[in-house]
Amino acid sequence: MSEPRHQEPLTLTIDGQSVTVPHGTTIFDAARLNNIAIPTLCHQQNQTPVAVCRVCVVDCGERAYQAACIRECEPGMKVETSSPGVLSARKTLYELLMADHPSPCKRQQNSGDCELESQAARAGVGLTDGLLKPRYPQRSVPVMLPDESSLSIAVDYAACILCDRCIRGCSEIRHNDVIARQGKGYHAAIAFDDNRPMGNSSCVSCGECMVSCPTGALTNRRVVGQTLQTLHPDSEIPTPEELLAMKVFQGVSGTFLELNQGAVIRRRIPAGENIVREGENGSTAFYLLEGTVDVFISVPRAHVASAEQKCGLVGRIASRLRSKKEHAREEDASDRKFIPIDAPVDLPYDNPVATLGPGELFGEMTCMSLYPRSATVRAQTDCVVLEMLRNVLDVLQKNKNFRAELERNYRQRALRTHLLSVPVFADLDDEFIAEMQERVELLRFAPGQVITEEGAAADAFYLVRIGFVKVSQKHGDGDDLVVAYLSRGGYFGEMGLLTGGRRNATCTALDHVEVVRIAADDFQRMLLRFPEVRRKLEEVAGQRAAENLARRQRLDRSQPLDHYLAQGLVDAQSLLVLDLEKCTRCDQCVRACADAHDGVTRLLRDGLRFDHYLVATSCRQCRDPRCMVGCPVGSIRRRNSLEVVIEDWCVGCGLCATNCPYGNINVQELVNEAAGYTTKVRKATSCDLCHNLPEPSCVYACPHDAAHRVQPDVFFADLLRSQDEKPHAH
Amino acid sequence: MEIRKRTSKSVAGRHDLNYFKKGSPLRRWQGILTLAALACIALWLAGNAAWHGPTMLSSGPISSSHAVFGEKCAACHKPVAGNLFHRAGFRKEVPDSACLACHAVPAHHANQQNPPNCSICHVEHTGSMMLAHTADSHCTACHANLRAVNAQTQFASSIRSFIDGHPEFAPVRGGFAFDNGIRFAHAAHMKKGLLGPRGPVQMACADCHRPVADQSTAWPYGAAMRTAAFTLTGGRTLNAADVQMLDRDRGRAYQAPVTYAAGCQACHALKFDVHLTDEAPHAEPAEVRAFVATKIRAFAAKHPDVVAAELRHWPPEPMARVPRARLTAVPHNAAEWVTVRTAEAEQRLWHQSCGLCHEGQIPDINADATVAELAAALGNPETLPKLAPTHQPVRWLTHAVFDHASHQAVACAECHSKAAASQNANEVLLPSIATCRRCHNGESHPQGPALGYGHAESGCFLCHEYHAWDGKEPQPVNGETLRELGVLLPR
Amino acid sequence: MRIDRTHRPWLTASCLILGVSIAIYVAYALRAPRVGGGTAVGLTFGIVGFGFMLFAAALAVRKRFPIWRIGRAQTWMRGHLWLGSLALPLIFLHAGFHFGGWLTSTLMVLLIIVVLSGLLGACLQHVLPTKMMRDVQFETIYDQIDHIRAGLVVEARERVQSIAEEMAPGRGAGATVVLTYIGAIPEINLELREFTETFAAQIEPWLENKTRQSPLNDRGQSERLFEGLHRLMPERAWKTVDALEEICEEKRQLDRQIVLHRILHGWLLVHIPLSVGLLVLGFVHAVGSLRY
Repeated sequence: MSEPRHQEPLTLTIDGQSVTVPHGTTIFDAARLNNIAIPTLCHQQNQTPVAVCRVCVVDCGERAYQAACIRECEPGMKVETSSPGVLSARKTLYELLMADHPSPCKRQQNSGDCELESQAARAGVGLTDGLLKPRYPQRSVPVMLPDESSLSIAVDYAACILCDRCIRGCSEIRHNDVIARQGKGYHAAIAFDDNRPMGNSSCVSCGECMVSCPTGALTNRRVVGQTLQTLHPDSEIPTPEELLAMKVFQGVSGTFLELNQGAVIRRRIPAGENIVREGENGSTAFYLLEGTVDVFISVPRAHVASAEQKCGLVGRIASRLRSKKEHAREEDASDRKFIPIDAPVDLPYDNPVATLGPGELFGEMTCMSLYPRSATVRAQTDCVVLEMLRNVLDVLQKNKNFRAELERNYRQRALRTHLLSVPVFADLDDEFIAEMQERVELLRFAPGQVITEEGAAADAFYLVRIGFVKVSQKHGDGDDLVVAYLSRGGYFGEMGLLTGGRRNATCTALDHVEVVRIAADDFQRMLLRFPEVRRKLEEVAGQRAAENLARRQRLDRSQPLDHYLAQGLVDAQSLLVLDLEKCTRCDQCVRACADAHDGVTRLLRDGLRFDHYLVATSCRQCRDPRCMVGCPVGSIRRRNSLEVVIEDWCVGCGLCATNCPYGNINVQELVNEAAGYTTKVRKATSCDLCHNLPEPSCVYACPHDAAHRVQPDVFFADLLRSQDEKPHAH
Repeated sequence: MEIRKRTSKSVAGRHDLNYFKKGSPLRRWQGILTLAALACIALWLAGNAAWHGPTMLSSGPISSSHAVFGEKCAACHKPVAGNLFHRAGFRKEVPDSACLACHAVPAHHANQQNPPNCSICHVEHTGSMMLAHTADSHCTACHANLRAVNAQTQFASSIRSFIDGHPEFAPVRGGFAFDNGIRFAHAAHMKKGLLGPRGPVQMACADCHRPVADQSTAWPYGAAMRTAAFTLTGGRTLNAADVQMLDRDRGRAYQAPVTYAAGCQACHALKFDVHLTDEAPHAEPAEVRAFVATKIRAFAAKHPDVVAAELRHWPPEPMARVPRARLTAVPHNAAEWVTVRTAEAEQRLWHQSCGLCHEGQIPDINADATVAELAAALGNPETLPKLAPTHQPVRWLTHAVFDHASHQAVACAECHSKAAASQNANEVLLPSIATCRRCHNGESHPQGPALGYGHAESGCFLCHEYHAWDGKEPQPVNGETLRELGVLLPR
Repeated sequence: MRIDRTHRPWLTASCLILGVSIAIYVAYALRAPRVGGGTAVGLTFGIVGFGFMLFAAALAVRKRFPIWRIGRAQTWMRGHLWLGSLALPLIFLHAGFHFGGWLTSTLMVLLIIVVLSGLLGACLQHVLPTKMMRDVQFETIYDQIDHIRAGLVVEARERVQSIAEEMAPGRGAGATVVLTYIGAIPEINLELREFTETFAAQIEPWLENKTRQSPLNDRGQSERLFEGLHRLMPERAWKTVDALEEICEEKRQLDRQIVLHRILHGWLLVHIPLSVGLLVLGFVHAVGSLRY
């Protein structure tokens, strides 16, 4: 055949009909345009055709039947869509597919519209006495158990026909890229992420796969009777109409609400009952419809005490908490006065209580990024709340009505405290702040998105409203050097504005981040009106520049070593190493650490080895402090660019412990005696290098000169460079 | 390599963070064994205290002489009051009173500075056999640099040992004046070819010098002592001190003084007349005069013919080997003959016999005296010789005690080397300290191991006594105290 | 601790003390009437020696309060080693090389044993930590070994249970498999049964320390056993078999660690009780001698 020219219409014959279609049209589309229906299983019109099911095969007069969904029309093609051969082939296909299909599958049971079963029935597969009996018997094939881990979608692998629709829906339509294939032969199946249960994967419950699935493999759990409601039996599921009647839901797709019924429930909570507790895990957000709630942090603002220079006589094994007033820490001048939480307000440090009213949303970070709850919320009066899953919240956040309300709340309530909580802005007056409240922008960023780029022109100042931002600088041959992690209440971008030049760091959103953006001229106005602010900023700028320089210098000295990299030692700024040739395994270091820290040891004498040293499990003061990402109350921070400190308001959620790749942070259950009763409180603890003592206690107490706190790049570089030099400790 | 994935987190996550508070078996056993050790010790101490008293605290075995006390430490260890910060009763040293309860010993010297406690020199708890033997250093502690309380010391003041700083013996030192009243020359008697009454003799030291214990053995040149009691010539007796000295070591420590009867008589017989075989007694001159007169008169009475014959031929033949007296008087009758013969005998005795050895005043008789004058002289006690008193010290070294018996193996001449050549009895024939030092130049270890090879001991305790016994033997132990202690059998 | 170049000042000081003491002793022994503990020089030696012993004992007290800023634990340890060792010659000089009565003889014997056991411990500390490091790659905290071993048992059991799943090809981590039809395949069933029987009969009781005698105690024999299991099982299940072998290796190494640790710390069972006894009796001796 001659090559037809591009875009020229061509003519072919389908089932005897002459059809003219543009070049590039598939046979399926050509037939559809002419009201000829070709059955498909794996093809969906909004997805790229893959032609895996072969149900849409037609006879084109070629040696083999062609899949109509993918085969493009050619001029003069003669297509038969329902010839006996084609019908026979289709029927065989249906029989083969039905052989392993757990019919009737869930979709067929509930809505009678399982595409496979319907098509098979229409094709007359195994119709006997009203029951579908396939020609081929069911075989013994090991198959995965149904996956019920997701809150909104149920997975039944037995019903899956590997049509690939869900994969394409997730990747092409939703761009979430969660679903893929795994296995071979009879053991092929779909998989979520690296074959995790769906509920533990990065699935955002948008429902696209469920909607795409032709069979009962992916179904809405509402359909199978499992929802949020199971957890709260006395809650109601509002109908889509009810929801759409609410202002915040106006503009949301009704179909979406229909399909995702059960993903949002309405609960009535009597006064005095806790809605959420701080530190718990959760995956829902709450929108307050009626009533008021108290938000507070009930864990005492205290920390596990570290020993001062002099110690008491009695050896303490039991732990006691000492509040900050008894045992003041140094450098508290740069404290925040507010504890940032996952709500429209921040809690003041001295009295961490606030109130939320109707129209306010809390639990966003928990819902979007699965962080633990940052505070306890208790109903002050009888309340009505909407509890929703992530897919609903996601949709709401894109809804402009909802966004407007959210931003208004933020500006009125939290923006002021955020601005004031930035130490350099402590001197701003109320009038200026009121002005600012109207002029700021709230921007959203997706995970991985870059907010500001190093080297770009500085044009705005940013405050973080929610989420985590990574501040990094390029170093050497393109390595990223993490400077800090910022969470709610953190700020960045002021240095560029101050110097009037370019940005000196890249800020990237780590999860779903919302920032408050203050434009450059507003910022400059502020600096002009408040010279005190400018002075403080310059002070901070100077400090940061010095720290940066020191960090770079240290890095320049480091020599990455292969086996060193494997353990992540290159990331460490300070290691506790135990010389295994001198250590007698006497546990004195552990005892000393416990004695210096109220009976809670910050180091463990087990871990991986490097050379003849044991790298003890104790905070490494990593350059890239992954522990800090996700703290719901921002209590884990870095002091003086070295010691990692966990502040008093730690709620004991344990996220930092989970995040630390080396297991250096532990959550301790401690007994708190206050107000006449004892409770158990959880606090995270990690090594603080005994910063208030001249030498770390473990090193001080080792009788055999085996324990050393060292800078690994110096210590081990020396070791390798020259065997005669004695390694020296940090 | 490793098949199961090991990360720092997974490895550390296995552990219980409070493991070190839970106690491990090793530490538990350390505690148990420590308590067991303490319990054993407590039991041992208690048991010992219960059954053996404070014996366990003894720092060494008791000396053999005090071993009889057994475990009665209180026999010597008495509570001492008022010692600095020690309240009465805590310190149980051994005060001097504890020793003196049994042993009555005199002090060392009136002018002694800081007399030490008994226990300082007599060191107990070392298992010694002879507690009284003390080490030199206890003596030299003072005597190496001697100071007296309120007088100048009369002794050498820096004696560090027998061979270092010990002065020469006093009798041997220059300036020692000695006069024993006898003229005697050892050289003359000990020479070869000495002629005795019965032919040539070779005299040896032991022929005249013997300890008291050997007095009754045969004397080659004297009459044997019939009695063990030693007597001097003329019934004189030794003073008490000398007697005690002679009695030391069962009469073998010192040499007894030489007597005429034991050592001289055989050769130097006191014959006085040619006609008489009698010997004059070795006694006072008066006694001798009486004896001689009596004997001659008796002879004359018995042998008138001899007398008459001599009267006829005067002068008679002189006695063989006895020089004739120089008298010119001629007797005319028997009485005169007696007088003259007596005078002659006396002259002979005084001048040739007594005067041979004894010093003193021997009056001369006028050679031309008449018989009557002679007779008058014979009756005149003034004409008797006045002999110097003789004096033989038994103990020459007044501050040391010497024992000849322990030196039996040594020949007399080894130490008394000057004796054989001595011409004068006033020479001190004691050996000098250098002679002693030829052998006694080794150390003494009173409670300790044997001495060095080839040396004899030279400890202070061998010769000197600290307690001023003055040569007496120490007194016996007071038995009453022992009885009170329940050591001896009850009465 | 290891004696290395950093001990030089202590070595010098100790030699100096020893030299001076011997010089004093020689001078005193030659002159003095009596050589023993009761003389002035002897008493001084005794007091200094006992003082050294008390300082050495104070190390235990120091270790009870590890964070008190009264000198680094290392310094105390060096003092303990050097001054404690010096106590022996000083006490010999004090006693004038006599053993004396019952009490003092016992004291001398105890002192010799304590100092020698301490020296033995010091020698062990030069050798055993390195040996432990080389022999026990899987070293962990001694007190937790039982706990870890229990964890190994659980892990072994889980792996054995999962082996049935691994016999089914193509499944990855995290998947849960319906074993509906596996058992129906006779060949797989037989292998599985033999494997689980071997595990239940030989490996599990040994891991639980119920049997002490086992071929698994020896590495060579263990390799042979697992070789047999490798031949038995299909290749797709080898990952589990290898993991089991490693678990056994870990248990063997932990057993070795127990032995080495006990040796490394066992001498303390002699050293500490006897030294306590030494101090108590020393005190009794001091009081008793001054009294009498």
